[in-house]
Amino acid sequence: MIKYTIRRCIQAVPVLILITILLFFMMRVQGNPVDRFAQNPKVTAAQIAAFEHRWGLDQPLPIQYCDWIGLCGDKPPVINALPAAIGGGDNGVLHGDFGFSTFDGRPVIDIIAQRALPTIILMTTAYIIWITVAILAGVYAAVKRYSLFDSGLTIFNYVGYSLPTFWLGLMLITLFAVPPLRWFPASGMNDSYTTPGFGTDAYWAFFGSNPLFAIFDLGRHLVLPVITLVMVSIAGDSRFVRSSMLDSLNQDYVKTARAKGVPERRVILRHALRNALLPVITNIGLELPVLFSGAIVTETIFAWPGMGRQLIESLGHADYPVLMGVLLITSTFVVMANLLADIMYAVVDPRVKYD
Amino acid sequence: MYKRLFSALAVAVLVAGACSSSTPVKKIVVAEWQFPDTVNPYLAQAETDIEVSDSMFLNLVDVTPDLRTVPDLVTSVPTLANGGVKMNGAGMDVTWTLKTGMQWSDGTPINCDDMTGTWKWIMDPANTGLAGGTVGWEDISGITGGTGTTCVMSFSKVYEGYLYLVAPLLPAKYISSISVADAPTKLYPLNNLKSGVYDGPYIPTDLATDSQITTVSNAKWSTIGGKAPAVDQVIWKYYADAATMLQGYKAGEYDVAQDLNDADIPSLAGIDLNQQVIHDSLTYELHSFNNKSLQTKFGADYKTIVAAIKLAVDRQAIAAGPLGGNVSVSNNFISPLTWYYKNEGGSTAADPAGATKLLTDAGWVKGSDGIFAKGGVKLELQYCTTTRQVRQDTLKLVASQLNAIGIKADVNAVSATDLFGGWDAAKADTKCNLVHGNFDVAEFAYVSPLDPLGSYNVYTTQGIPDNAPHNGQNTTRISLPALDTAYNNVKGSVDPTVVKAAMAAIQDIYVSDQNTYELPLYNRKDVWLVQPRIHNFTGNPTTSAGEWNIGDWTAD
Repeated sequence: MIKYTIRRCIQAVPVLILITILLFFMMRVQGNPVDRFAQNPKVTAAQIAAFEHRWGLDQPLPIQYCDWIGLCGDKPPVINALPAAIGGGDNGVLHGDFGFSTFDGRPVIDIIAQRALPTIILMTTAYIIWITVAILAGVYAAVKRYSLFDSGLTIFNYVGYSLPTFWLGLMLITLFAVPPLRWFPASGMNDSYTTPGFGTDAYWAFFGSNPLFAIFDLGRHLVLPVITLVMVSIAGDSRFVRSSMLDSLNQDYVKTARAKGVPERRVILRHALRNALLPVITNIGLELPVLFSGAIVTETIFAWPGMGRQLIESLGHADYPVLMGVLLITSTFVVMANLLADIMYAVVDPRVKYD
Repeated sequence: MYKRLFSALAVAVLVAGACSSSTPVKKIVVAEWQFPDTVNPYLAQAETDIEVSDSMFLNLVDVTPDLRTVPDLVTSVPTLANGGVKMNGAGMDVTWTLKTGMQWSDGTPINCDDMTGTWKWIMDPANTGLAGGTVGWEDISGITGGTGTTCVMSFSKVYEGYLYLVAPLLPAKYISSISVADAPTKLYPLNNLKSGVYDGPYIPTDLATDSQITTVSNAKWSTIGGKAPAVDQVIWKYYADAATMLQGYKAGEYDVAQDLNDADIPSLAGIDLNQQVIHDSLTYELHSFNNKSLQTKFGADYKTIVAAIKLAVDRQAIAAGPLGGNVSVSNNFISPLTWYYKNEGGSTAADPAGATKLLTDAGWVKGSDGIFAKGGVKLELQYCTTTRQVRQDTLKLVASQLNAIGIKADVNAVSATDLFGGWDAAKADTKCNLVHGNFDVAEFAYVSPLDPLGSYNVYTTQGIPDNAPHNGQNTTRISLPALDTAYNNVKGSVDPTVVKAAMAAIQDIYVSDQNTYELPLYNRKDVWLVQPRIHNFTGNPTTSAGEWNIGDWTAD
């Protein structure tokens, strides 16, 4: 297993390099950060040229990529790629330097760090709920096939799957955030009147002195976006679990277990469910990267300051250093999630051996 | 056991929540739907940047809601009449007298060295990303005054826009501590706003991206009456779009909603009228005629065709229809609030019969399809706009109005990027692109200029974007010697009488037959929502928006 994991990690490196090359050139062809000055008559061509020079945009694309990845820099190419401690350079992704946003001048890594936690909080909460509910509901619907519950779940899934996220979010806000109910906040991660902005030094100081209130406040703000995400995400997974469980329940070993007089509860949980979960694990594993990449529409509707919004904003501003940073980390998550799914296979299915 | 523990914990959380929700300091929460990308006023491009920046910096002069220029950091507004501006050969000297005793947030005094420092910082060749460029600053030959408060700014030639050039001063000591080349990343950095030095009523303490900026009252700031800001904290809360921001207002999440306009008025249902502040905006919607493409299609008849269209388009029906009666029709591109506005009068009513007569007199004949044609050329026009729904609805209405008199209008809705994309950013054949001239008529909005020179690049020959460096805004390609002369008269004088006369000539041309370039549709509205507990909020049609007097806001 360890050998397999190491081999997969090594195999991931060229995949990620290929992804960075493709993404970099796609991003740079898509737009140019200087476009924002295009219709500003007060900004001269010389000033635009100075801006391009400041951000290295006047260099040929391969050189820009080389600088961004860290192969090129103050030191000769290749040597620059070595760690700074042994005489290499200190720029580029290889050295942990993701550069600066060409839009607001902040270090990319700061932007990602500030965005990651809100997304992880939102998506992990939603993910745990929707996966748990999807598995429970899917299994129960399969066991009680064609029952009222099964039919109800089918209708719920079709409705949930068909609902546009933006519409559902706005409806939840209209119903539960504005008068007369006003049960939950409409947006954001904190009450601006009582709590400092989430993630700031002031917030953590406040959190330290009022942990219960801070958690309660954050929890209230999570309710509506989490319901939105769960409603639209649960449908696919619960149908998948139901289908997989039905396949499993029809297998000969399940019939044998029943014929041997094994209690039904044990047949379902030990014999059918464990085998039914194999394809489900792959599916769940592939969904893991959303924990980092976020949900663009939900984050937008609920003004949740997460990674999804950052991605769409950076795209609008042609802020390619930030886009590259976010996409590179997301790609890494996808590769890791695939690896994790493969490892989980072996854990769940004793027939699978990687060594 | 676990149930009891859980219940006890839940009760504790609820009690803690209830107990901690008291507000020990007086706060105002202001909402916007776009997060700023800078608070540095010289890098600020978007309205949201300027709004938040305005609460952190003092301008030399401010513009009131009725567009009067009043002193802010200075004791008086320098003009020719009061001796604050003196002609000096081909140039001029402007004397700015700063208020005495004013300090930056780090305690250093505000003086003429800051004015010199700001000028040198802007003119430094290493400076990049200046939204206002170096226009005007490059005409300054020197600034005297040193550590005093009487600063004389000498211009090598007349610069009409001197009043709004310094907006605002930057602290010389702070800006000299950071290399100019590093300004985009290290001067007033968003990830450490506290490191900056400010002189406005509120200074930033914390920033949570796309969520919240917290500012606290600046102890070094005072109102004209010598009072400190009445509010302890102003918190900027950010949403992702106007629709969710409005829901947030209804949910009671903040006190003041910013950056709304007439398109949002229908969504204000359910909000008390006394909480809605609605003013005429400096922004007006217009139809822009591409003289080059029309001349290519229709030869010398293009002037008659534009005149006919201007008669046929029923602007009152547009205001009453797609705009729901929330706007007013205008005949001028200059706001009635400006000091150089000339009331040209004239009717805003449509005259389809007059339009038909113009075309038939010019030899155009209706075909079997009811559309005019002449010499085998059909009278068909490409109308372009953005995907904004109200604009598409407007153009559909206009198309039906024109079709009724025999003009075929094809409506094209494209992305804002395609419509407004710059010369290099958009391909030459991008459909409807204004700069490349790929349209016959386009609907969009302009801001009526506060500074008379603000429209120089829009209407002069020099601003035609076909000419290098292709950054002019004259996308109608209008080239009228009389218009060029009038604008150059404005450019070359600081005498209000001369400027006003030149601007009157420009407005005369606008309402005459010579205007083959633009049809103003209606003045848009600026909309704010203000909770009753907030006082002294006035709104403002300039880019300073409601924050122009934020230091004077109070809250119950």
